[in-house]
Amino acid sequence: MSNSVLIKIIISLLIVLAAAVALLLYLDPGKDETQSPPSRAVSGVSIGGAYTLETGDGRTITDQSFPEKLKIVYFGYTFCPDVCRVGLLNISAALDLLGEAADQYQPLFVTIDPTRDTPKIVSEYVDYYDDRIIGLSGSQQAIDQIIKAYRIYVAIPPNQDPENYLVDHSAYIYIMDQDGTFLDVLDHDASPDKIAASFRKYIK
Amino acid sequence: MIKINFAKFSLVLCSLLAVPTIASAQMSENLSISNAWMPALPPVAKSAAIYMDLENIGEEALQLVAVKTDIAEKSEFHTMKMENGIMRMMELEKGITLEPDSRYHLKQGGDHVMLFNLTNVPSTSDNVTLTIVFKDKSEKNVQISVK
Repeated sequence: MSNSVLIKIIISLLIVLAAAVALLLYLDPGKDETQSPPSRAVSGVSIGGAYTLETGDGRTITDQSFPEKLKIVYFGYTFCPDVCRVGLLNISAALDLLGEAADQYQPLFVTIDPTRDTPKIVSEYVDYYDDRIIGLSGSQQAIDQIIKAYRIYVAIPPNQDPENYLVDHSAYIYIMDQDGTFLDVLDHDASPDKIAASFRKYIK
Repeated sequence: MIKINFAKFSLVLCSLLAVPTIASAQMSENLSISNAWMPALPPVAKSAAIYMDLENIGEEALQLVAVKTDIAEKSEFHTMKMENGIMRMMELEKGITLEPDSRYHLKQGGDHVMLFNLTNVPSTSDNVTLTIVFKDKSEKNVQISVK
């Protein structure tokens, strides 16, 4: 065999080898997601993820809880004079508008101020507005984890009274699928009608 | 020698002193307040917001500099701003100024009276009184409906 033919054969084999490797990489299923639920990307940013929090009556609620229900996740704190209350009232009114379909949803209220809001305090606070809503708190670390997962902005402006401080925070209502995938986000002061319309979109 | 009638003299002096007080009414008299209300709250609530409609019915600017009430340890005028989905609340350190013949609304999502550390969480049957303090030290009490 001449050298040029040999070279051509080697080159062809290399091309075939490269193609085979490329094909294998393409077909490779990749690592399995075992730890946290999948979080869908929205405009390049993924929302949702693992969390472990406590209720006022000592239950542990995680992102895997209520697997048969859609979740409504709203963040706030009980020292909040206006926004948090309004959001809870709107969620409650929207659920009422859904009638029986409201059962498909599990509303959650998560405090972003675990220093003052113990699980018991958050539970008593939300019970006042709607007993379907579960109030959640936890250690600062646990709250930081969910704040990060949902990309909530939380900041305590400086120079405030250490007992009576206010907290700046994002005021969105999140709708999550049964498996914890992000579905939608709403403003806390959207009307109950508008919120109910969004809720209806995802009912099975 | 001219006899000075002290009685008449004192009377004239007193009326001269009284004139400035009568001429400029206190700020508290020129503020009209309506629809003053606050929401009924869960027993664990530690803060509250009060809302109301204000109107300056006088001819001078009114400056509301402080508020106080029995049901909370501290009260302040506060404002709220929504920026990029983030809710920020802060004190209006200079209080609220109302130009003559103007109206101002303290409402949900806007400026309001903020009560810190409630000593008593009001229910709908309670009477709540708020006292507004003006720059000229006059004060005005307003009854708040709990809804």
